[in-house]
Amino acid sequence: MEEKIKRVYIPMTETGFYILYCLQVEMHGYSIGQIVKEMTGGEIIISPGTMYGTLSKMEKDGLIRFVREEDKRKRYIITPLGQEILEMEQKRIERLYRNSKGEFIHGK
Amino acid sequence: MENKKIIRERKSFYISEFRAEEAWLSFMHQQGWKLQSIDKIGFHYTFEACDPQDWIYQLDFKEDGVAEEDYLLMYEDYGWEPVLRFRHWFYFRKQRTDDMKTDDLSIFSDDASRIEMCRHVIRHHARLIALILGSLFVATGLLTILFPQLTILQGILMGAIVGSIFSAMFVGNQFKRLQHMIRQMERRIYG
Repeated sequence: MEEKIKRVYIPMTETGFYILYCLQVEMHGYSIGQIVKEMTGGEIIISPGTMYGTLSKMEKDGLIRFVREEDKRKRYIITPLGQEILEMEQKRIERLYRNSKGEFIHGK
Repeated sequence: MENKKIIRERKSFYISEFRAEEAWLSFMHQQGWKLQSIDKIGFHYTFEACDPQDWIYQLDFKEDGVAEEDYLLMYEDYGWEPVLRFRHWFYFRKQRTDDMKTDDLSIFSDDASRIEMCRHVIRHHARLIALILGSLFVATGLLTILFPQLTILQGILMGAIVGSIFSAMFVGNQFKRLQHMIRQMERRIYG
């Protein structure tokens, strides 16, 4: 089951990656959007339908979990499975980045 | 308080036509009619007189029943006004301004989530049809076992089955259109 979920999420959409990355700290959907906007200099804007859909799907697949409600807004945090997938994705992106600079990765 | 001017328009859209519906609702708002309600069967739209303005309408499909407060709040936080809910469809609108970026024009910011919504629409209706056809078959089967002679009720059920099969074929055609939309978006993502 977990293998299947990993296959679905790797590679991840940009939106998915940013959401999962932000949820290493507990927060709600709208604030994730605000932070992502800030950290990408306004380049990545996540609309509400995409935000809500991605959060529901990630919750269903066990990458994140609902923690509590604050001001009627649901707050989520990453799960160990989500963390594992995030790290795999970070490694993949790092490899991609290094290769994009013309660097070769030897070994393995 | 003065009475608000209201009009009713007879119009209906199939499940694959939500984009056309959004465009029509925007058009109505530009003409000075803002959406107020939709009747239970989805054949009549009621509009309220307003200033002719440019508003964007967007539909979202959400399967799990009740409108959760959290869901609507998320849209409100992003500046989308929840207008109404019709079955599993949620209607939102936002006024268009000159300084709006393209990301503000849609409730979805990537094709992956648009695809996901189309898939939900297909899955939901496929389940519904399977449920209706399944229960009709079971009911007919049970009646035939209990009352081997053909009864009027059995006749009615058989008729219902034939009718449902025809509707299923029609809905199947809608699925094809949704699948086509999904494929087009996938081509945009994966080339």
